[in-house]
Amino acid sequence: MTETTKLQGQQSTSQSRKNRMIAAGGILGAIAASSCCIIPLILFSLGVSGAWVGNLTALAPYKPFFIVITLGFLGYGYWLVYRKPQDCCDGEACARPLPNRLVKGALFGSTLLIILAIFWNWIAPIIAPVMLGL
Amino acid sequence: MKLQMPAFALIGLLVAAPLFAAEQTVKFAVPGMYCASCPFIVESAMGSVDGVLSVTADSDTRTALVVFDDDVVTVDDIAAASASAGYEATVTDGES
Repeated sequence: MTETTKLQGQQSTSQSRKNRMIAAGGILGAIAASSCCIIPLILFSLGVSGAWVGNLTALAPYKPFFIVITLGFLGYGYWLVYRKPQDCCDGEACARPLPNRLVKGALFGSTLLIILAIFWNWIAPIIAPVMLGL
Repeated sequence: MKLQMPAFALIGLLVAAPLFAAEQTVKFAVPGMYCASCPFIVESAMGSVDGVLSVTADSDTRTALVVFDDDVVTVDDIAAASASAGYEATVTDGES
């Protein structure tokens, strides 16, 4: 009995670690996808600028690649958190462990960011003049 | 803000006296400007330089058309302002 609960505990910790890894991947991907275009604007409007911003904009050609990777991470992340059927053990409460709030927050945050990144070409002409006071 | 009044007065004087050099239009090539928000950053960076009257940046052609007062500011100053914001700019075209 103690063996099985220990095993289950290990399983759930490795599961939540996996969730976190996927969520972190989603966030990193979303940041990478927005690094070329959204982040320079935010930094510039905050008064942070420098020649190194050019390095961020140089990432623009890789944007579609970052978007695809991020969408992959997010899709898998949402599937893990909301869809994946949990293994039930005999005699155990068959409750789906509540997904970590951190993981959910990260998934939502990176979803928002990636949507911004995908539609940025249309959003930028509206937002940029407002942010820069043009 | 207070700087603008003498600046405008100076521009008026220069327009009235065509013996002096005044308003100039220069086209800059800004090769790094290939994203949706880049032209806005370039416009803001170049436009904040004293003596620059208007900036029109275009991300499709990657150029910025700048109208400026060459008594107040030089082409190099404008290019430097853009470069310090992360966008190298070089003059492609003088009067246009």
